[in-house]
Amino acid sequence: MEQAAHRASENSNTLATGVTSQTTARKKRFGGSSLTTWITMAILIILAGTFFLYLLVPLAALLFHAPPSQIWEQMQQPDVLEALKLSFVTTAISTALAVVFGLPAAIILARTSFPGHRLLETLATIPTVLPPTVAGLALLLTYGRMGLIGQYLNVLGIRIAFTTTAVVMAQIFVAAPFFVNTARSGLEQLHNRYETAAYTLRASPFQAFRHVVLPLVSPALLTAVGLAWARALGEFGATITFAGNFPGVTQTLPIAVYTASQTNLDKSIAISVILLAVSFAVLLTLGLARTWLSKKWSI
Amino acid sequence: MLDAQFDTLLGSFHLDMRFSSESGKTTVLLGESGSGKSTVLRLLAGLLKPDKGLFVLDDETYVDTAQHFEIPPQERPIGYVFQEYVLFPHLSVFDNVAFGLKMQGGISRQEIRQRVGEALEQVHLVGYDDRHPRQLSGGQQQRVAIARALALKPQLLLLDESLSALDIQTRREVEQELRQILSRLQLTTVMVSHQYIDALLFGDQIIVLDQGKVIQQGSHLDLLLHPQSPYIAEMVGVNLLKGQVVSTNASLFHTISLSKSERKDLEVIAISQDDTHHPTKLTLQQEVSVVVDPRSITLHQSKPESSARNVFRGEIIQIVPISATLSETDKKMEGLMRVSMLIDPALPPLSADITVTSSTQMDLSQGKVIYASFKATETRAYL
Repeated sequence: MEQAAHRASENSNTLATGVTSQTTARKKRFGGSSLTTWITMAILIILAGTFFLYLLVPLAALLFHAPPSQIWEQMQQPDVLEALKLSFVTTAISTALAVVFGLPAAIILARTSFPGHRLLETLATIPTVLPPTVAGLALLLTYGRMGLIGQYLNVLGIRIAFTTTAVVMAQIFVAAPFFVNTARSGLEQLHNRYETAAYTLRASPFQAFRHVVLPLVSPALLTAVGLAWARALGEFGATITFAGNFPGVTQTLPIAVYTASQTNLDKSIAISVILLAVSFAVLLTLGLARTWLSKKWSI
Repeated sequence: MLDAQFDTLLGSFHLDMRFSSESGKTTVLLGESGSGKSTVLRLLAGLLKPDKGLFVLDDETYVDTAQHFEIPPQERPIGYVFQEYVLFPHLSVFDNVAFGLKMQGGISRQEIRQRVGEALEQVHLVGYDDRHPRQLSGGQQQRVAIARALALKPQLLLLDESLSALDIQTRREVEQELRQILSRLQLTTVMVSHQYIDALLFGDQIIVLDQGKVIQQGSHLDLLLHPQSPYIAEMVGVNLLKGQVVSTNASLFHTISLSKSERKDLEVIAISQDDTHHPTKLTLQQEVSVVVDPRSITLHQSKPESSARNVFRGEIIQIVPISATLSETDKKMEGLMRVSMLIDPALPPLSADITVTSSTQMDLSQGKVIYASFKATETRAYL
């Protein structure tokens, strides 16, 4: 569309003045392009502004409906406190495990090529697009009492479904792929010449990773951790399917929000605001840490 | 003593070369991009594994594929300096230079500090310890990279186009420092470059690579006297004509035909000078090379009646200035122009260096047909 407008203005130029000298034609075109720049800028701001407002307004509505006193009151409630504690503990464990197992996966995906690479790549992305309920169902069919692996665990007296372990497993299943994919893209963006230089300086592959690659990709890893953690914190569908809704055992903050919404909307709103505040604070902190690291290492 | 032999296939690129160097000498690997010169460095450093190869340095074997023997890069006593410095951006100058010593392990803090200090002193960067790479100029960064490689006291230094990314002024400074360091340390060095000047400045021996093969190995004089390929001739700035001996006489004058057809106007009369490496007597039918210095070629607007034995007619395809000075007497530009002319479509162009003044007098321009002449005694024919 912009191109068409451009051409039209060019045409009108030549039409209006007949044969224009090259310099004046160039000047006019320059003027025209500064106008298009201005219009482009305006469109950009309007569209982006709409987007941010679209996110902001509903969140503000939550705050509007939950005065601080009410939130404070809800935070004293034992069931809310329990949900808060459970969410903190489970997301901390699931995020840590996502890093422990996800970082090697990201390294394999970013630094090697082998038959089936593309397949693994897709596998690591599937949980991010799968409806969480489906993920929960899949986990249940695997680790449930009658499940693929669960039936043997059951013989050994190990139960996973509907326990806190199940909460963590559900969170890892849906959240770890966010870590893997983000970490992988960070690793891919780092030129391998730094590793190469480290090898020529007596560094073993592990030392090169530990002392060169890891620091240089740490900002990307922070982003990855933030995304995975936030996804784990917000996890609802897979958790409720695979772990159920037992206060103190599997009732995390999002599930508490849902439960409260059935009976006490004010309580539900208050918990939502807590959830929102926690996510916002953690993501902002990670973002600031990332900026600080990037600046410090001029990456 | 360095002895290296590599035979390796990288995709469709085949590197097959062997070279050796005395200890403490610098070998310059020259070649166009894609000739495989950087690959040789990567093989020496162990960053790449050869299909077949042998690499021995000071009686220590690092690669011997016949024995399935290969020492990993981090255990080779090698220093590597890259074209784009590749300093670690998250580490200070001190930590960059100390990196190898720390990785190696078993070196005391005090010794690390001392050796980093020495290395930085060698590149004249004392007092820069706490700076970060981003706070340094390109020249300073490359000097840190050199210090980083030297701090490990390597037995072999590999320089991969290490001066190419620097601007001319900085290049001169770093080049000067590098030459001092190399002559002081007597360090065996392999340098990769695409610039002949590096070979002149650093090369105790020069190896020219083309498509993964060594096309010439020797000193500057060898390259200048007997360039083995058009690329080398172009690099050292001489005309290289290839042809077949069609007649010889006792006084070492040979007639060499440049074309397959027996055209008299494409015959050159050349002498085969005394040389220890090459036979002085050429025999009939031999394929030979003839070198002519562009400065010994004279250009004429019409067929010359001079005593020069060799006269060629051709069309000018290019005129480029190669040096310029100001003549103080008449405030005019003076200098040399390189005029390239095509004497036959099947042959490489013939270049002549003439002064700007004579170029102007003859009114030379692209497309003009002129005559070039040179004496047989100004040529060298060799196998």
